[in-house]
Amino acid sequence: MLIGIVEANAKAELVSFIEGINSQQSAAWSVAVIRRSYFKKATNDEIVLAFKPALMETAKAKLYFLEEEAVYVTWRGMPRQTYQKICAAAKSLLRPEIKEMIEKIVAYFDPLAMGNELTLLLKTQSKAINGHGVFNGERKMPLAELAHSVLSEKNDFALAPAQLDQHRTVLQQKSGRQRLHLLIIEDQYFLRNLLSEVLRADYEIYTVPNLKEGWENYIKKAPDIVFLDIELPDGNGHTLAHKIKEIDPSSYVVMATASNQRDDVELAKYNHVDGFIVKPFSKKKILDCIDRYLAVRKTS
Amino acid sequence: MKNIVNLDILHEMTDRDPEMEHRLFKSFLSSSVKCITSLQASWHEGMENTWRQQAHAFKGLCLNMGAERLSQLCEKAQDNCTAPPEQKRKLLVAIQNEFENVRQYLEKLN
Repeated sequence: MLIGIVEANAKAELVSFIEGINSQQSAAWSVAVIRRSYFKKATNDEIVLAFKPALMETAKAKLYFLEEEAVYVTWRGMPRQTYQKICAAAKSLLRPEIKEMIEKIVAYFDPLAMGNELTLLLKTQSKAINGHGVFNGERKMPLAELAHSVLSEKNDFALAPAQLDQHRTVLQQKSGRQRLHLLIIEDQYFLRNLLSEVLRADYEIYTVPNLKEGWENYIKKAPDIVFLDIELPDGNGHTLAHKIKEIDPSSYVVMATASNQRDDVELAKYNHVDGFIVKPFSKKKILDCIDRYLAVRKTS
Repeated sequence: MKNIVNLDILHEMTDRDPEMEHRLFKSFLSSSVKCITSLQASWHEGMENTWRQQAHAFKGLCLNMGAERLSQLCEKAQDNCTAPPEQKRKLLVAIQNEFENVRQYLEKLN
């Protein structure tokens, strides 16, 4: 077992490590991220000691202490078991007033699936989400508070019993489909048109311009994959992602944005979404998402 | 120096299908006009959020069309959403001028 602590140049090394995993298409690695502000006062050495048992059986585990007070844990193999052990270790270090679920505090990244936004997370400075702080400024709000603030945005997601019944019926029929059904929620006509033109030969495509129609279509169609823009005219895409995951935990939701806002990445993780595309869209990015969905479906 | 339009991104998506690209140019121009109209209506004080959202949306379109200089201007507009109205008005003029370059470029290709 190896635990390396890299204080100087940690960020550059980590970005290069994640980019390396992505370029090699290696699925063997995992990354977990914890904000140090959740921890009791502890030195780097104390944190290493606390995590050491969790990483005993993994190969090439490393802890990166970043200047902006985040601790990144990288390891090879055993994603789920090691993540659970890391959560247990992190729990022992938490400040007593922290009441959030540990899984909300320790963000897990499969670098192959989420490498794009993980690299962004590391490369970009924190920017506040529109309406929830100053633009371009450092976010002062803890993640849970930010998530509460964004996700409590008022949206009409209420469902009549008949709609729920219809949704359950469509969900049951999902496995018998000949082609994958993709729902694209994007406010710009050109981008809806572009995705529809490019994908319609191989997939069943539904495109809608806002949250309201996105939700209605999700309920009616139970698509296999949802591509969801974050900034929509009638609200924030995170609220819909949260709602979809609440009603169908096994749904497959990919967030899309032209921003490189760190908060968007963290909120996407908070909602347990399955992927993140930074615009511009490309065929490769979309087909990668579809391939990952098919791989997940095969193993589940 | 960035290009007026770098079609590499679009070509990767369309596999260089000329008919599809022709339709997409038209929808890009139509979506862009809507974004510019919204920006024109929101450079005043008190409209910072609308300005930022529209600049952000327009940037998304430009990125996929490969309108590199226009997307940079949109990003600047997005980042300067709280700037004084006069500064935003100047940015809007720059966006309109660059959009005209893009429009002429795409129309020549058609």
